[in-house]
Amino acid sequence: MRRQGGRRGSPLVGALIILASFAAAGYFWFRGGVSSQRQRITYLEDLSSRLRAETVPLKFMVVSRDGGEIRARVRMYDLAGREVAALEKAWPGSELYIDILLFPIRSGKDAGHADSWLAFPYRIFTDKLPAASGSVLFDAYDGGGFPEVLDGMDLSAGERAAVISAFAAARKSAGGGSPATEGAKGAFGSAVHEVSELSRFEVGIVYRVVCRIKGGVEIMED
Amino acid sequence: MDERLNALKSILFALSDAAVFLFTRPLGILLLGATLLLAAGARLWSVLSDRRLAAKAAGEGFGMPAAAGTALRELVGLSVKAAGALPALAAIGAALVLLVGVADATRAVDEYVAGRKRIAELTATVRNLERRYKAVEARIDDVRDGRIKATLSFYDYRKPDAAAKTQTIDIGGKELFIDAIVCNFDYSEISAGKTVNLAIPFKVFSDEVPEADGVALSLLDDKGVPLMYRRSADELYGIDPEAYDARLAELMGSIRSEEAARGAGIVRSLYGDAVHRAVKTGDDFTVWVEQSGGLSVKDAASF
Repeated sequence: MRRQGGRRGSPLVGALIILASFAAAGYFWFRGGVSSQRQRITYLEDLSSRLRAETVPLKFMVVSRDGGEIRARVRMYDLAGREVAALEKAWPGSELYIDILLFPIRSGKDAGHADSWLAFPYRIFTDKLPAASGSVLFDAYDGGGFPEVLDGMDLSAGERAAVISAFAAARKSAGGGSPATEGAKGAFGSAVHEVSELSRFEVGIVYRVVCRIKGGVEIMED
Repeated sequence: MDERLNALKSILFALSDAAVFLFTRPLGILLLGATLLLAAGARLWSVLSDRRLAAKAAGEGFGMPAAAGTALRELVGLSVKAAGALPALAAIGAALVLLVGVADATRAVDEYVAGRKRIAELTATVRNLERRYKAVEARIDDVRDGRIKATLSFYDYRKPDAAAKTQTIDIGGKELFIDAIVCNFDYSEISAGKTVNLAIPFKVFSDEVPEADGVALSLLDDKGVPLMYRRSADELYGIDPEAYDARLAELMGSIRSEEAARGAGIVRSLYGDAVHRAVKTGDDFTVWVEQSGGLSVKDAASF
């Protein structure tokens, strides 16, 4: 015969078990949230650093200003800070222009937009000397097709070939002032310079040309 | 209130850390075991001493077998007492687990709250650094016989939808240079959104026409303030127009004088930047002021 009203568990114990289960689930969900929050913080910190990322491919110093000429010493550096080329020359004029060619790099995800830029020191001219008559710098750091200013970076064979190809396209588009070829589409020049009304580059002071990964170029005192 | 809560948290964390150390770390377990053994040894020593004294008082001997028997009885007695105290020990264990759990959860909540604050700060930093604003839009109307005809539109970053001023130029050459004074502020100022990097376009020249012979852009008013930064009284909120003009003139003064700029202590770099491109008829590109520093040029179609 079946027992009527058999022994039943205490409702309090059941409630406690349910409560404990919810508490445990909530706790692990919360820990998961904290963990994903940590990942987001790491990502944002990396991104913030990346936005500030910079290279210094060129430094220069005005040696003298005499008779309507500027004499300057220019040194170019690879990514490890090793000097790869040097030049000292006088140019007619009173304001020195350091021209940097910026070549766009597009990631596979968003090929339409450049997400970073390669900086190639391009030429030097002045306020009196047209850019077309300036001193072109490409040959100074051309190491068999590879731009030595981008040396010092751990590149795979494929990446190295891509940089060589980018440099060749940049040189081609820069040469003769022709509109950018398809390979160099989006490339532009940034000729940073002193402005007489503000202040001139001081003789004997070294300035560095800082190239930002987002494409901006700055001159800063070294 | 916060101080009280922090004091309570400190006690909670100290107790939790002590419990975790004693019951989960090898050194803690060793210390706990050694303490228990020491207590049991002291108890045995006390019992054996009492028995030896009692036996001596009764004129009886208290040899090794008697001592061993007494110690064994005492140990069994201790074990029985410990077994009797098991529910209490289990309750203490459960309380400790709860204590550690509450402390851990409190720490996780604290970390979560701190993480939210950090994410908000970093998001603002990244947003401010990623930001760029339009300075000039160039439309190349015609490139023929070694001459460039173009229309330049100048923008105010606070009103990016409509050009503040437009100017047409006609210059010899194949590459168009748009020259601007660039003022980059300290990263701390930019990251915090307190200011934005500025660019004041002032001249156009080309690869064949040097800057000295270039076309000046008439963008400054009689006070030397770029027109694009000027505001009518209706557009100003929270600052009276005279104060705004004075502040703007002061800022432009900083931009034009490197000494004043450095004196202000917030300018990172101040220089000229002539961005340029080789152009053909129909080209349309934009010069942007990057808040990470400097200028960039993008095809209008890219945005």
